[in-house]
Amino acid sequence: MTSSSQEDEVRRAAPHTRRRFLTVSGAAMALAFGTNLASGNTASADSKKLRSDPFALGVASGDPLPTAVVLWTRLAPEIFDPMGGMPDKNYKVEWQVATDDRFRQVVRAGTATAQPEYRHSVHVDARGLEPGREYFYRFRTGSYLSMTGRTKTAPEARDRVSRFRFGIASCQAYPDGYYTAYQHLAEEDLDVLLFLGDYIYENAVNTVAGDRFDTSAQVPDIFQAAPVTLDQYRLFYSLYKSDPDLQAGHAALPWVLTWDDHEVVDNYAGGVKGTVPVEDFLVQRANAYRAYWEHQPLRLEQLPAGPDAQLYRRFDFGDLMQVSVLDTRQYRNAQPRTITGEAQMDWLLDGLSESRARWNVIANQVMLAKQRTTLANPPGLNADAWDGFPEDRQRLFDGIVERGVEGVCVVTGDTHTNYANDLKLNFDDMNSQTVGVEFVGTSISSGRDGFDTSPQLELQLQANPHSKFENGQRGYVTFDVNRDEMRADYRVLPYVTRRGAPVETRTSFVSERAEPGLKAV
Amino acid sequence: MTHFTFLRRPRTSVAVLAAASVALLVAPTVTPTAANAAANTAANAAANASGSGHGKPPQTPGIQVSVAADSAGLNIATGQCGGAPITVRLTNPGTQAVYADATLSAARPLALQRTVISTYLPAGYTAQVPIPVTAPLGTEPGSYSVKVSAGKSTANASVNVTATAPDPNGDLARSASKISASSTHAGYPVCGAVDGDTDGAHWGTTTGWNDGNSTIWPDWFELRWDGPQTVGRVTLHTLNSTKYPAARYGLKDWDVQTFSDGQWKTVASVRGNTQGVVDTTFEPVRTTDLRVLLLAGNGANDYSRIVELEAFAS
Repeated sequence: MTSSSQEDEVRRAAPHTRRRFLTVSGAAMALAFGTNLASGNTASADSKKLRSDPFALGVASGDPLPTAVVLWTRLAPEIFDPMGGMPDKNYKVEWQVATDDRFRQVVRAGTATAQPEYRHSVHVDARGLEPGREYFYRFRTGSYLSMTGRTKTAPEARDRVSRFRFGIASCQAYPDGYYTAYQHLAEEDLDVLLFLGDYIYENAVNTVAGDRFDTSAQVPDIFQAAPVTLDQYRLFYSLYKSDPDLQAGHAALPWVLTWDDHEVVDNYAGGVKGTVPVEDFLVQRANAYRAYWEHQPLRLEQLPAGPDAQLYRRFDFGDLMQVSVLDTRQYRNAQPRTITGEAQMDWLLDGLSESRARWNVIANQVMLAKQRTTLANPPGLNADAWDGFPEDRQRLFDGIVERGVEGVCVVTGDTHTNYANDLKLNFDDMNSQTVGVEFVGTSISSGRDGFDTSPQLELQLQANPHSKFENGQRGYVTFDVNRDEMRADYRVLPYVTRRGAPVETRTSFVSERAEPGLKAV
Repeated sequence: MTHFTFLRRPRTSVAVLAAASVALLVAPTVTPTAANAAANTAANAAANASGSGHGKPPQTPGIQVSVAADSAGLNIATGQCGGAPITVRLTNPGTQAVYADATLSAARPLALQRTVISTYLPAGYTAQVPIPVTAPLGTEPGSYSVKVSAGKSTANASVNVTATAPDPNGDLARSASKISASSTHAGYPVCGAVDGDTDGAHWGTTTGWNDGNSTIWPDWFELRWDGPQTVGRVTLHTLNSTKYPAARYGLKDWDVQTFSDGQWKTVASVRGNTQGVVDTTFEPVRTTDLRVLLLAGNGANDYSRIVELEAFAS
């Protein structure tokens, strides 16, 4: 057979003469949240014909406001199918919000439309709720009922709040181990979880799910390839979200998420990843961002337009705590050198100076504090973290000092290591002002079983007197905040490559609002 | 305060909100023309391009698909390890970015790595996506078509399949229909251990298999045939080169097992090995499945490493 170009056989797509616009009103608007686009099929298919449980990826809630919270699910009865096992049709999905977990007191309910363009993900912005209140929610389509999720609205922004509890988590490489940490986290009494990046990893997953070594996993061969296209990123979310512990974590409390690099590819910076042409990389980034939005409890404001997405945003939890959620990946630039981009840094500093909250939490991805990795002079530094962008760090610290911002608490992920850092105005002068504190949380699973300490961590403690704690175990950090004091408990697990690890508090610190600085408990 | 709209405390209920109106774009739906699409819900599903969101209607949702010229007449050999990729190209000729879906189908019995490609396509942009194609052993040699479609645009590639000839030396591993392992390290595919290359100096160039989990034992590497074979000798080439001597990098302990009567039976055992090439002979057995159960290595990083696994009648 001769080899010939197939170009001749390509038929040009016909112009879209059937394009038309619909105006929806009434109940349909509530359903259409999450998409301003409808499928080619305006009618919804009969959910009763679904032959297996479509709620295989669980439920989630997130981005709590005083009277609203986002509820998420996705219809995907076949997790390894590129369409999730769903026909190319719209499906109606009913949702309920109740004040009790048996749904005797349903306070809000509606019907959403799951559309194939968004792989039948559902993003409901449930509004009209009461501030600072616990709710339960669930979805139904056809004869299938989802698991029940618990969520909580934020306290009214102006209300005096005396106590608030939150957690941080990050870095959950699926093939590195089990998500046992979420079993324990789901049992903690927390108001919200801040997820600080690396929700998925682009790394290949083998048939037995790597170090999980689960011979029943039967992960398909397509996971041997790193994702580039949207269908591939969607499959990675399907795999990750099929984990029952992760589902339990989402179902237990609302999450506020941001991303780091691995949601796209390791150590990318803005539009740059190695030698990949920027034009091609931005397409990959667009694919990754779209899959991220589809699979997280995010509002329409966060829906990407191609390679651009508005992920940095702010939340108030009464007058006690404000959380500024950063995106330190999308706007990185070499010249002028920046990790946040100009607009985000202005937004951050303006928000901090206008804040009336007792505590100003910054949900951050990569380590803000200086971290010398050698005792040499000059020391080794991680150029992918804020250490690679010292001008931005100084601008932030100077801004905090100049504007008199109090109660600064930075929470960070990325390194698969627990750290507790005093944030010094000048890290080379321990007598300089402490502008705030930074709690770096370890990974949920990335890095496998981990270790309590190592010669390298011991060296870094010696080289970084502002670092009070360094630990390489798996886990998460919980925070108990009152008017004057913030307490952090480092919760660690001894292993993750086997199921069933217990959890314990490895150490605890407090920092006083009036006098920032870490104190061991 | 902040300029973020969602920070306004929403006081409207769902019912009030619902009174607002919003424009929805309806994109045409195109039935996939893929030959076997009906058998595949995935292929059945995604044959349209959708707009880029935020309510802006794409001006030209139609995209063009093609197959790169150098893969339009792809040559592959039968078997799991005889495949090769075609490069599918998705072009957005319009002036607005779109999210596009393309479906792929192959004439039976060819197998494609995936049947859907979804991607963002900026205006005027062409995405190039490699899609591995394989033909199972026993596929009738000849020309087979792979069809790609997106909306009304379709393209075809011809895949020329040749039969993988039996190994002239009688190595039955070369004609196994399914090669699998307990786990696989990226860059060290199972096919590397049945490619005829027994040279340990080629380690790291995809000519050998390395398991994906250090320190976790046992591992296994398995051959399956479409019909029963007579096997009486297995030769295992573990990693052994000047740079990586078997005494440090090779396999130390393993069992050779065949599958019969619903269970694995050990037909030969090796213990304390430090050599690169180990022949094991046993009373010839008829079997469709053979594996080496790998129990321990000689230390370095504690991985399993096989440069080549051969099986012979005697």
